[in-house]
Amino acid sequence: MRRRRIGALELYVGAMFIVMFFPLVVLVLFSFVKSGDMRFPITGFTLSWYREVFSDSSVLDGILNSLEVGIFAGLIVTCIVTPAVLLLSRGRLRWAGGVAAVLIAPAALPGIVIGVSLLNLFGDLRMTLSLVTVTVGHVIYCIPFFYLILNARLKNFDRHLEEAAMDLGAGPWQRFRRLVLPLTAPAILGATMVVLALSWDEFQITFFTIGDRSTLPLVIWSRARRVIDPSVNAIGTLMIAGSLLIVLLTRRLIVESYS
Amino acid sequence: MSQVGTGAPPSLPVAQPSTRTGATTPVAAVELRGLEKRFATQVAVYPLDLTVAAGEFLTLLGPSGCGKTTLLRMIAGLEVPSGGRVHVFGQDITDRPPNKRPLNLVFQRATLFPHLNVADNIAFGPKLRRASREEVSQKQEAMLELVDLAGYGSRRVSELSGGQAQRVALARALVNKPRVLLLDEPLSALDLAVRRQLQRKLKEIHRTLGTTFVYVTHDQEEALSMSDRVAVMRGGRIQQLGTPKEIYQGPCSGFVARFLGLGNVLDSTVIAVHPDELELGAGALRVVVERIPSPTSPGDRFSIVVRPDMIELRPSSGAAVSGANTLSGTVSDVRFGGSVVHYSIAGLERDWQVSLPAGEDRNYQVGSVVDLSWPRSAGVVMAPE
Repeated sequence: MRRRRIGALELYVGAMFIVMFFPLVVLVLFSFVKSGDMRFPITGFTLSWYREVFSDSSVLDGILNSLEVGIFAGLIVTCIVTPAVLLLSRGRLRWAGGVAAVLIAPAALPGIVIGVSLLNLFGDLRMTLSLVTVTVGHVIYCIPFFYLILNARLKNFDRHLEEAAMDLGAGPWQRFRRLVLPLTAPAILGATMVVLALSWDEFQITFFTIGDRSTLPLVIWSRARRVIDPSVNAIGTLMIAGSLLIVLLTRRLIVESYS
Repeated sequence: MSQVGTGAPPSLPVAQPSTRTGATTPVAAVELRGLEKRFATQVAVYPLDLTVAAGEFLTLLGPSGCGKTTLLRMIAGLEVPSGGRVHVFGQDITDRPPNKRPLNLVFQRATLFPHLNVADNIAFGPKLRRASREEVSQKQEAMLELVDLAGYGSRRVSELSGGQAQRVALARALVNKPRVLLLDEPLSALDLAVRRQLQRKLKEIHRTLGTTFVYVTHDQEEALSMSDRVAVMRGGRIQQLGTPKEIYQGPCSGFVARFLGLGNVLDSTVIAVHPDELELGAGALRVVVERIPSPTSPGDRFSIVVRPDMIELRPSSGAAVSGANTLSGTVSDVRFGGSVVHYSIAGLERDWQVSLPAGEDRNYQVGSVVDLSWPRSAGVVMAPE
């Protein structure tokens, strides 16, 4: 057996991963460490920070609020954008390029700009800031990502399949119901999960549009502002776990669907 | 109704009868009137008329880009014609969407639905029409049986070979009992052995079901061996329409002759017109053919095709050959084709194609000098190119 040699590329990739993930590893590690000052050497392990977090109603409240906003934003984006993608991916509309550009535009705007302008808009409309206004902000923020992910999948949709269904007697609704929907459902669900993940850790827009409520990122921010306390690490670990779960599910859905 | 084998006399007129005899004329399965398709910069199909009889197997034959697929897709409704009408069994269906036409199309690639298994692919049409569960399962069985795939119902379509997939596509179309089945080069992506096998299968299904078939192919052998009639297309027009035998024996143009693999097409000029024969010159060669009905006079130009299967070969006597319908040449290539042997022979500055039945072959080697000769019935006179 020949031993595989470790070359420059492998070293580079290894270094890159260390730089990328070392802070996260430290964060997860210290969420289990006993001493409160976050310094080496480590004196012992504990779950007390988690206990503290779970006994803190503001954290639980933040998690629930984040889930609420994420789920609603995900559903709304899915319902608005899916029909648009189905229409645009056929490339039969003359102004399809223009519509696509408008859908993608929010991705080019800094979150802080979206946040501030929404704040002004809601003020002009005399709307009370709440989780509803946050959800509106997240919908705007997530539309481009949902569009790009689903469009990439539907571009590969075989037009001949639709012609075959048409030839076999399927009208427009039946083609959608029996062919397009079953074949694209995994991709749609995957894109929805990405929206959920984006909303889960969105901060800038949330900050400007939430009023007196708090999502999980805002809870962390307000705690970290007061004092760096290992319970923030515990919350961070929970957030990472949540994001990771969503990403893993999404990957399965997007990659393992019909191609 | 018209089962024209290669040997049987044609039961269908080549040209459409100019007078319709009313009640005795059966309704045509497909009737195209002035059907055409123009794109922004080019014409895919020039206005054309075509009638396909009920139960007929008609093939549209031509090279890629000749408009045959566009024509088929217009019949299916997947392409909107720029003009003209499509009638199926007397009904004008020109303005109906594809899903409301009494016909089905088998595509070049099998286009099976990947989220459904074999049986559910076949059930797609019947389920749309809300057939009962028993009816659907009974139809699935019957169709799988018909295409020799009994027991394959629960397979995923990704597990099928190309030939199997195409048979499922055929079953999926036929289960709807189309009055006309359209086939768009259904076998062209398959390898030769499977193609031969499915050609026989298609022919058999056509015989058993009596469904009208309109078939598109660029493979002349396939067209000639399977069809009742063949329409040879070129540049958006039908160049010739007739039974395989009629077309093979009397191609109307050099293009048709070459496309059918009748390689020996000569440009010639009339030298003399005799009571029962026509004498033409093609370079140094003199060709005598049977007299054609249309009036001709010396100096008129024609294309001639000399059928490869009617040329005789003899070892060269060494003496210079003279006389009409004969020349000397050197064998440049031999291709064994099972029951026939194909020779390419260089003579009089061109390449001659000769096909000998294997039984009559005398194993001429590449480089040997042979004399070619043919009876005057071997030459077919066509319009000049």
